Amino acid sequence: MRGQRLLLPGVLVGGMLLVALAGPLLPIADPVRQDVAGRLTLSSAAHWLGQDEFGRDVLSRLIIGARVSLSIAVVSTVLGAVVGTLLGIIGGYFRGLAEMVTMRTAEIVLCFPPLLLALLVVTLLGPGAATLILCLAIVFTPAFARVAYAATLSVRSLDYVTAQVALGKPAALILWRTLLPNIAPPLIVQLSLTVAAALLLESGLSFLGLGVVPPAPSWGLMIRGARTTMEHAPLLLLWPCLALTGAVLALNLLCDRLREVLDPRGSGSGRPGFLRIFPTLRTPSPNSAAPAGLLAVRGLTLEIAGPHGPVAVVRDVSLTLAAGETLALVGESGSGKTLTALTAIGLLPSTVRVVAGEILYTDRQGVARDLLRLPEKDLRRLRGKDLAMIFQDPSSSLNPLLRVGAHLEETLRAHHATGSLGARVVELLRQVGLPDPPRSAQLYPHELSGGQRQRVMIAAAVANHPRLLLADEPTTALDVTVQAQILELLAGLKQAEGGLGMLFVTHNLAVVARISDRVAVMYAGELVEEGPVAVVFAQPRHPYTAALIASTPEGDAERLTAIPGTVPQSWAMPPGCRFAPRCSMALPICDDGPPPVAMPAPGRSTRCLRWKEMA
Amino acid sequence: MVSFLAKRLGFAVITLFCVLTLVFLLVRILPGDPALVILGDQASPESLMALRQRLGLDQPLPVQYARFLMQSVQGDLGRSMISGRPVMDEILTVLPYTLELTMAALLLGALLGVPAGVWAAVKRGRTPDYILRFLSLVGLSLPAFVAAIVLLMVFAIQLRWFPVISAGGANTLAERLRQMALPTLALALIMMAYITRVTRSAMLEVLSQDFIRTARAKGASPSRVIWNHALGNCLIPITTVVGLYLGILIGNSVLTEIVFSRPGLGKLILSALTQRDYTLLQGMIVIYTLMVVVVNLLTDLTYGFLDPRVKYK
Repeated sequence: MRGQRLLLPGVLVGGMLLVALAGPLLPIADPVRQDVAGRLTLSSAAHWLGQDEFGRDVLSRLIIGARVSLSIAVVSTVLGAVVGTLLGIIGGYFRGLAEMVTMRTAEIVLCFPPLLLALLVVTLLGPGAATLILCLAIVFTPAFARVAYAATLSVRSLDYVTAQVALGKPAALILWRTLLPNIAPPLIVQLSLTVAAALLLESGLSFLGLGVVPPAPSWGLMIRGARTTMEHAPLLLLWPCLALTGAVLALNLLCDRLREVLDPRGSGSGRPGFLRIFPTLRTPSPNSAAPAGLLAVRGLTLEIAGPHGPVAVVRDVSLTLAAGETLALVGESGSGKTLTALTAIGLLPSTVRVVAGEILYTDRQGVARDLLRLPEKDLRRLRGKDLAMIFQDPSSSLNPLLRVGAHLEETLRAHHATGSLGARVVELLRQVGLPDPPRSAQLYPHELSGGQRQRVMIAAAVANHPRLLLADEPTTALDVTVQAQILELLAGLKQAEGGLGMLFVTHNLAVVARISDRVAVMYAGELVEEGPVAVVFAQPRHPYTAALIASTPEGDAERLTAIPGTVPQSWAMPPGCRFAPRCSMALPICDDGPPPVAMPAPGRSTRCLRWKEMA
Repeated sequence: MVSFLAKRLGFAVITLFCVLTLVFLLVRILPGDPALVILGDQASPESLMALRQRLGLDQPLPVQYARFLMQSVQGDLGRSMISGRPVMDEILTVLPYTLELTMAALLLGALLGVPAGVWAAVKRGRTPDYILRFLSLVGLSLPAFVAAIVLLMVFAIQLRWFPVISAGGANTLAERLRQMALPTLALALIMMAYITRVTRSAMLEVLSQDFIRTARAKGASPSRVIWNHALGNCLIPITTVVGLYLGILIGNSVLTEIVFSRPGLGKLILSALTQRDYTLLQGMIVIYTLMVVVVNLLTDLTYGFLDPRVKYK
């Protein structure tokens, strides 16, 4: 399918090469035969595109010109590619002196503006096709040398190659075998790019009268000739300009599409990256009763595109969170816990789609609003003010170009703070325990430690006194000692900000026990158990929760047991209970269909058919 | 910082030294006697001898080389074989014209190219993106002299909005701008195409980084996320490309100046070529390379201003 993208430019370039190759066989007029009577005549039956200033047939000059221009471009490119690639491989493989000589020479040649280098060589050796080829080859060699050099270096350091060398295989042989597949894609792109550049240079030199020698036709020469008569015969100028630009365009298009096929990141559609605004749900809200708490997630289902149609990565998840409460969302990677949190703030990755459900948030006025159906404009007003989020990796989550103070000011200003905010910034930094707040405000993120960066993230999150704090594994990327400090800080902040509800996403049960009031356990996109932390940990009502506790070093289990098997792939979910294949208590009926949610006690839920037997 | 500068300067000096040597050798090993070229076939042996002496061509090659290097270091690039004026003077007379043209083209290209690239990235896969991608591809497929000639034909010859010849002689600023408009546009179109492309791909890369999500989580407006957070982090790749393509821009300015009969290095180099004025030619190559080396150095130094993380080691 991606190969189809190559069809159009492939046909264009192929056709161009074919016409150029077949030029002499085509029934066209002699490109150098002059006809003084027919000077500058417009198109006629005998001369479709007219005749030039010497009465020569323009069409046949275009075709033969293509042959001359393209053969010079192709031959010089191939020459430059072969020499450059060899030099690059030698430099990258032998390192040391060879590297010095080849790569430094390449860098120096690259310092010459290409056209000037060509001008110099042509002036010294006199114009003509052979000189042109030589000088274009010289101009293009360094680029190939660099590509080959970079590929060789990267292949050299591959684990596979190092291992083979350690085993005593001749390095050159391995390198050659691994090098070719690695070097081919960038080289192919470089090839088509260079042919285009060679066409440009050749035509430029011919235009200056330093390239192809008349009367042989070349597009650059034709433009040079037509320029003298452009006031009377502008069309004469148009044809070679079109041919030249068209040819280079076809080559560049080919090169572009090749790159796209080899590295499809740049393509795709829709707002890119995290700029994406996910569409509000069009289905009407289920219109259930207003929730008692701060946040109520009901029947949330998220899908991604799988190889065989859409796949539910989060299915029918319901949670509630009261003001002032901390709910821990626990599960292995890929269980959908982070996606659930991101949905609440409207920042899902572009591949995920909300399919069903509602997320009711009760705002400061006591009005329940469905975040899944809130227009982006209104949701943005809540983000950073009512709803705040702390992300997992503080080193990549802070813009490296903004000072700490600017990060905090941005949050404040996004919600209509004006005037000088310096005092508030310092106060916030003091609140999160950053040393020397006025000085810290002047630092860049990279000048802070990981823990300090996370403190800045937290300061930005609480700057506008949010009512709901979403914390996505805020301690995972940190050292163990720092983790404890950050947890303490979060607990302290919750006390200071009365009524702040927190959704704490983590895979670490020890952290759950420390920080949260209630816990919700997710497995393979489903919520399997929910309840007060102490009760759930003491008496799990779902085999997965029990297995998770047993596999945690900090748990109360006498010995650690690993959960057998692996989390199912999202496109190959079991039809019934998703945990059944790994469950020690599974029965045949577990595979019949998704188990219904059971309520073992007020405020507790489980998605297991056999919860009663788990006492 | 200091050691980084020293290293880069060292490389610049080595590059220039290599260029000087290369130019010297190329011009000397050429067949043909410069004295004969200057005085013509009919010159008497005595006058040829005298000229060779004056040009220092009678000295052994190493002596000539040492003298050439010494003089070049002192900024003396010799005298033109044709006009007899110092090469440095010849170059400095026309250099402002070329600098003015390339800088104007660079500025225009960046002013149009950066927003175009940002827009294309934000509208990825939609109509504006397709149009801008196609236009930028056409722009970089457009040979500089073709762009110049087409603009000249349409706007100067057919529509007569701008003068055909943009040689000096302008008295007012308006007239000067009118003369510069077409050549600047011809160069800027190509520069813009390059800048649009690199801006688009850099934006796409940056927009999927975590800190963009953080900015959105803070409730920052889309325009702030795009222009402040994302574009700010794209400036390094954009600067790199601008620095790299400045070499191409300088080469293109040669052709553009010739098409518009504009004074500048382009016209000078062409006359040096046709008249086989080797000293002028070697001087110009040295100056051009010097310009590229300086641009590379400036590009490296700019990184430090664009990204606080860059520490020159």
